[in-house]
Amino acid sequence: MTNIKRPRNRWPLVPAANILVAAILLGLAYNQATPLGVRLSNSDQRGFEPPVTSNPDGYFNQTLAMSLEAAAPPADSGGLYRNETVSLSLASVGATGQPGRKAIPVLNWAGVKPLLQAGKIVLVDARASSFYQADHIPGAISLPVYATPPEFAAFQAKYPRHTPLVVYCGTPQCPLGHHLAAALIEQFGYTNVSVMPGGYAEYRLAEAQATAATTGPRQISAP
Amino acid sequence: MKITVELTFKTALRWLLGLLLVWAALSKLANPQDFYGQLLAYRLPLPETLLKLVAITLPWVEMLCGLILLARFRTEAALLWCMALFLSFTLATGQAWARGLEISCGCLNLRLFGLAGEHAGLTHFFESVGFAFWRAVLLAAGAVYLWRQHQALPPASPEVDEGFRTEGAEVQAPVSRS
Repeated sequence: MTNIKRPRNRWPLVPAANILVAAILLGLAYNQATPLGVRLSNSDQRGFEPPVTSNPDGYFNQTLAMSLEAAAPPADSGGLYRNETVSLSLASVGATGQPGRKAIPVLNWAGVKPLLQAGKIVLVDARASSFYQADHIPGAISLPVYATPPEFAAFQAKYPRHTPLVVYCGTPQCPLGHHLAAALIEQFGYTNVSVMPGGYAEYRLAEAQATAATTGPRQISAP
Repeated sequence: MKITVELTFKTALRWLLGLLLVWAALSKLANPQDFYGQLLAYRLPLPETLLKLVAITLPWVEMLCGLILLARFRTEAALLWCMALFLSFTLATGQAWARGLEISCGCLNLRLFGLAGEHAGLTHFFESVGFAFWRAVLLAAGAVYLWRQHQALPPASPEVDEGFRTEGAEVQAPVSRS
């Protein structure tokens, strides 16, 4: 069995190609199976309808508390909708965990979805623009936490201080949603900011049949 | 049948590359859509469809090559892929670094194993594109070194360096070639 005289395969292209073929097949199968797989289609048909924004000024006169009353509370929401005002009804976490800072309200996707569809909140994507470009929650606008001052100025010009904002990031592990929410409150004076800690991943898991909402890198353009 | 494992630099390097590749693959497979977003941040001049295919396929190439290096079966093919991958990573991170793109490299997910969170500054450094560039250079050098070592082995018995031995009498030499 030993000492088989055989020329050494200097460039093992065939086994390398086999690895590639195996990887492509495994990758396509896995991407199909995992709920957080790369979205292949750019179709506009969605399982989840984006919000109706024909009356963009409508939510400026409303508070998130009013919106929550208007939205039909899901049966399994537990204590989430028990009270009628935002400050009391929503579970809260500290903006950065530091004492002395005002807590930022927290919403999950089940709570955000009806408000978004009714056009009563503005959903803000805190991730870097490339993630927004890859895919995002339909109807969300991109405001990366590392956006430039002109981009923040453009955002402020479009959305006044009392606009109900809900900020999200990629996954529950991502802190950027909380960072952006804290910055919007403390540096830009927004009064009605919540966080969706489950983020894009929570939306994908909940809306598994929805297809991609890809677009250009930015929706907020500098003036 | 006598099996001796002798820990040499080559073996340690092979294990290091194998484990790193498996870790990198797992951290990408945990959230492929997130990896695709990170890939777009490099602003590579490639069509979107190709980038999607890369996002879907690359973690599995890493996974297979990592397992092959650890198992030492068809090492040559895996090392060829390693050189190609690490060279590509060097180019991708290098151009991003040169252009001053503010990105987290997307190479290894520290949070996957709870290694991040406490020390934000340290996490930022380990996920920075500059660190990723130098790491890619080092890994490419390691892969090229292993490849050259592998090519320098005598061509007489290819089965030996593929990690398979069937005869008991001839396997007294340490199984240390990688």
